[in-house]
Amino acid sequence: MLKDITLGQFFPGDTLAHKLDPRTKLLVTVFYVVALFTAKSYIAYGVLILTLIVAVRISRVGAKALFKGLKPVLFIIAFTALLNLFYTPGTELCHFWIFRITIEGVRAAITMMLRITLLIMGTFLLTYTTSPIRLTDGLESLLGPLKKIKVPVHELAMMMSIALRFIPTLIEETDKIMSAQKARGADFETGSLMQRAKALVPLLVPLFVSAFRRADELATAMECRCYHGDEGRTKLNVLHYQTRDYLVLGYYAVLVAAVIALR
Amino acid sequence: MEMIKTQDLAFTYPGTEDQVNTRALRGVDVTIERGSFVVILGHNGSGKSTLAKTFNAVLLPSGGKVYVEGMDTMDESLLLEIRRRVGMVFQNPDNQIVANVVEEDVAFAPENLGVPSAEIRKRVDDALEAVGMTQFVKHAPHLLSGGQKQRIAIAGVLAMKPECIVLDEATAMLDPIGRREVLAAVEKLNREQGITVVLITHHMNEAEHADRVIVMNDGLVVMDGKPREVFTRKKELEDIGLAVPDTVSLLFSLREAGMDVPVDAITVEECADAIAKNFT
Repeated sequence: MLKDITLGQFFPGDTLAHKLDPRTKLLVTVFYVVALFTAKSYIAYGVLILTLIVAVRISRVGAKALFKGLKPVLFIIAFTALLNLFYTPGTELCHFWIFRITIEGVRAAITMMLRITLLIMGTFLLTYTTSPIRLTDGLESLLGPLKKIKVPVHELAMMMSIALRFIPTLIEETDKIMSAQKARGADFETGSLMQRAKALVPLLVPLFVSAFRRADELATAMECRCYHGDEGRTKLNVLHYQTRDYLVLGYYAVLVAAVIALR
Repeated sequence: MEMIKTQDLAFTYPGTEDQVNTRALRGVDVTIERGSFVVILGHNGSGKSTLAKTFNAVLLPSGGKVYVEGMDTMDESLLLEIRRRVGMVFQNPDNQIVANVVEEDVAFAPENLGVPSAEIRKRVDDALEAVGMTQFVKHAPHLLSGGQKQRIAIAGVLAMKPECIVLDEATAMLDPIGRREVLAAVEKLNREQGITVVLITHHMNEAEHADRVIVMNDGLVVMDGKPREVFTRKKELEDIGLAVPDTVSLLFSLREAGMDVPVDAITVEECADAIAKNFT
C-alpha cells in the first residue's frame, strides 16, 4: 500500500521539454515565477498563460495530471481568493451583511488565483519532465559558484540523491515492519488520532534504528569505492547546453524583461 | 607475487580493550597470492570479516601490519591507491548501492577517482558486461533481484579496475539462485581477468572451486590449504562449529558403513563418480 507513494513524480518521455538541460528548466522556472509575480497587465497574464499552455503541449503531459497536482492546494487557493475578495478596499460593487465586495477585490482575487495556479502548474511541469537525478545534477551545477563562499553544494546534492535512492528501500522496510507488527496484533487503522499516532511508535523505532545502520554501512561502502568529497571528482553524464537551451532561455529572458517593462 | 600480506596482525574493536578475550584478531599471518581464488571460512565471531576489512584499510590494525602490494595500510597518503586496488563487496546489496540508476551506481567509483567521462562510460559498459548485467544499464536498482543487485555491486567495484576483490559474506543474504549467479560472476572474473578473489563465507559448498581455503577460529588461522586437504579434516572442522560439504559428509558416512570410497571428492560430480566406481 505504501508503494503507491511517489515523490516528485516524473513522467518519462522523449519530448523537447524532457530533453532540455535541467539547468535550463530550473532557470526558466525561476524566470517564469518572477514574471508571474511582477505581471500587472492583462496582456502579461495572457502571454504567461499562453506560454504555459504551449509548454504543456510540448511536454505531452496530460492536463489531467497537472490538475491533479492542484488538488491538495485547492483550499489555499480558495482561501486566498476569498480573503482578497472581501478585504481589498476600493470602489464598492455590492455588499451584504458585514461583507463588502469591491471592484479591486474581484480583480485581486482573480489575479491571486491565477498566480498560484500558474505557479504550481509551472513547477509541476518541471518535476514531471525532469528525473530526480537530472534535477539534482542541475541544481548542483547551478549552485556551483556558491562553493566559493563555502556552501557545501556537492554534499547537499549527494545527500539529496542518496535520500531519493533510499525512499523505495525504506518504504519497503516500513511495509515489512508493519506486517510484522500486525502479525503480532498491532492495530494501525482504528482508534482515535492519538491512539493511531501512538501505534506508530513501535513502527518508527525499528525503522530509525535500521536507517542508521544502513547509513553506517553505506558510508563504509562509499569509502571503499574511494569517495572523498567532490575534490577531483568527474561525472559520467556531463551537462552540456545545446542550441535549444539557449533559445528557450532567450525566450524566457525576453518574457521577464517585457513583463517588468510593462508594469 | 603477493597481493596482500599480513604480519602478526591483531585487532581489537574500540571500546572493548579492557575486557579479556575480546581481541577479534590475535596474530594472523596470511599471504594472498596474486591471481588466486581464496576462500576464508569461519563461523560467526571467528574474525573472518574483521580480517577482510583490514585488507583495504576499512579497519586499521591495532597490532602488526597489513601490506597491499607492498603498501602499508597504515600510511594515510596511500589510502586511495589501496582502496582502488582492493575492492570490497558487502553483505547487504541495498546498503552499498549509491545511485538510483544502475549505470550511475557503477560509475560512482571512477567518478570519485577523477577518470575522464568517456573513459568512465567505457568502464561502466565493460564492468556490466563482465557480470552479465548489460541489459539493465538504465534500470532502477531497487527493482532488481538480490543476486542482480549484488552483481551490480561487483560491477561497481570492477569499474575501479581493481587487482583484487574481497567479498565479505556477499552471498549470505541471497537465495540459492542469486548465490550461484554471484559465484559464477566472480569465478569468471578470476579465470578470465586474473583478478585475485577473496571470498568470505560460512557456506562450505562455495569453497569447492577455490585454490585455497583458510579456516579461522577465535581470531586465529587454524587451517590453511587446498579445499580437499581442509575438508577431509572433518572432526577438526566440526569441533569449531563448521560442517563439511554435503558431498564429503556423505562419503564419510559411506566409509563408516564399510564402503571403500575416497573422502576428498568435493564436487558433486567427483563424488558421484567415486561412489559409482564402487558398483562397477
